[in-house]
Amino acid sequence: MKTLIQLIGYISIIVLIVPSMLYLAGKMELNQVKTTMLIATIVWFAANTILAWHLEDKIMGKNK
Amino acid sequence: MSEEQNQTTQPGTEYEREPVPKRALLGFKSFIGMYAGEHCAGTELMLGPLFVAAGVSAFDLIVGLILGNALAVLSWTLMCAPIATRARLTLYYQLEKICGRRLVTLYNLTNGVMFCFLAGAMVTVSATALGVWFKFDMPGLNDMYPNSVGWVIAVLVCGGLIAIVAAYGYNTVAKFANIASPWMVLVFLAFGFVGLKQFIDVTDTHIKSAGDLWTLANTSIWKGGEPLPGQVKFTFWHVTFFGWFCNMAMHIGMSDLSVFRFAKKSWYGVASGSGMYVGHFMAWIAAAMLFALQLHVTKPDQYMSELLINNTEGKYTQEYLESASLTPELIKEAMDIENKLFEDGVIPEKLIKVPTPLPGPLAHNAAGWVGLLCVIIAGWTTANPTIYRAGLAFQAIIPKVSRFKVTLVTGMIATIAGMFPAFAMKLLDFVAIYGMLLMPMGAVIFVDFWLIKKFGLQSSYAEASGKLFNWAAGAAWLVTLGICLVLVKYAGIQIYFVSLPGWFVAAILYIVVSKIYQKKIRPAA
Repeated sequence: MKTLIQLIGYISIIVLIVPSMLYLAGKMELNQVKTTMLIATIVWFAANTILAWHLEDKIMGKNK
Repeated sequence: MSEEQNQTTQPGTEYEREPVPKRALLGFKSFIGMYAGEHCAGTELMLGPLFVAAGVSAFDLIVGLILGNALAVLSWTLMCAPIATRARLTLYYQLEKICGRRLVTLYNLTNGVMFCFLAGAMVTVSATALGVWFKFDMPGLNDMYPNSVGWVIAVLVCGGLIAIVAAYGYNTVAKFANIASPWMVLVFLAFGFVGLKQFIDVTDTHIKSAGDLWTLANTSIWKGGEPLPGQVKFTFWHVTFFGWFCNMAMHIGMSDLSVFRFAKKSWYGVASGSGMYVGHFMAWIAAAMLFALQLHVTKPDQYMSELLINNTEGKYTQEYLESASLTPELIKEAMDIENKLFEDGVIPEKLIKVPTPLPGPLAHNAAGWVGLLCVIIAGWTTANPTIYRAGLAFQAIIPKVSRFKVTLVTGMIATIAGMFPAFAMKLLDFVAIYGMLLMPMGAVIFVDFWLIKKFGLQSSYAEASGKLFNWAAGAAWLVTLGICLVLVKYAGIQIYFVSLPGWFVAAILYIVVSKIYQKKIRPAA
């Protein structure tokens, strides 16, 4: 599960930057870039928040 | 900042009055992440555009930043890290041993006040994002005071929230900042790509080679020439020295002794390059491009056009001004005409406004909601530790008051500072002053660590003599600042350059005054 969320996080960060590169290359519209970046941002923060909770639970478990 | 690094180097945590033990040392990667995150902050969105407002050319900006950042990395690597990895003490403890507790208190006060103002500038940056939503009047480039109720409320809300969060949950925000950091770096990069593409489109340029790109940069993006009215003209040397000295308090000023005391080797200082070339190169260039684009696509308004057409004896036509970009030269000419008409009583008030780099609208145009989020998060995550550090500096002076209360009050001071746009709009000058104020103490530490014994003098004199105020260090600090002030005011040396001679003045003064001072009150030991 952790690996999957990590993978989703990595993909979201790629999806965050690629649209602006495609826009620079003239292959994507700016509105599409903005929407895709917003979705990637939501996924990035969600995935990493879950990972941070997971890490915290693990540390708490170890301390117990 | 990595999790491990964050837990150990968070201000006010471990090994405050003892050398960092071997088991607590950190690897190279921790420093790479920490610097890349810390130097890609909300203020970068202000500094990049201010270079454009200062009329930089493409060569001056790009090459000046490459050189200036390299000098900054060398300063960390050759001046700060070697002392940090040998002494392994915090800046404050190292200073206390040299200067005595009372002088360190004065240093803390200065540092705390400057941190407050810096955090204020970060709050200002965040508040500009709210302006996009709520459409209130935002400050102009040359405004010193708040200019609308909406602006005051926006800063109050932003700054108040930041202050409360910093007081309640520094750690939570620090963790959030870790998550946000790589995201923020890429959003800055996206600003650059989007800004560049829009420039290519509006100038109808065809980029087929690096040469074409350079021509576009030189002729349309960073054209050089006059700065915007009210701004200082930046040349290659301005950019270089600004790149070098904008973090002077941290490298030459030795603040980052507290960071590099955890480094296994002194060459880890090169890790600061991640912050310099990501934050102070890529992010500045990307942000600069957004403001350059705003200037390029803005046309003179009806009022300015009429002033220029009616008062320049046919120099300008309506057709010409409808297609002309709003250049600094054009604004200046219109302002000169307006000033004359105002003085002659022809017009009742001056209405020309200088284009202002407002991070919120700039980021929104480039990346929509993500751009606005980036402005808010970049300001918030960097103001948070800044307010926290300022609180710690003040708490060292009044230790009986709780950290919560001190941080909250500090945050409120930063919020009030944030209402005054001058701190953000004059950020180039403010950052230079900040570095200059703390630089002499860096020279004192450097001399005390490497040189003072060679002159037959005692190092860590306050500790050895039990003095609470080492006058040699105090004089080196205060007299150097006085001399720098005189050089700026009367010798025509600009604030961006004065810290270089200032460092040598402080070093020499510390040795000379120590020679006199230590002779008179030689410690019993």
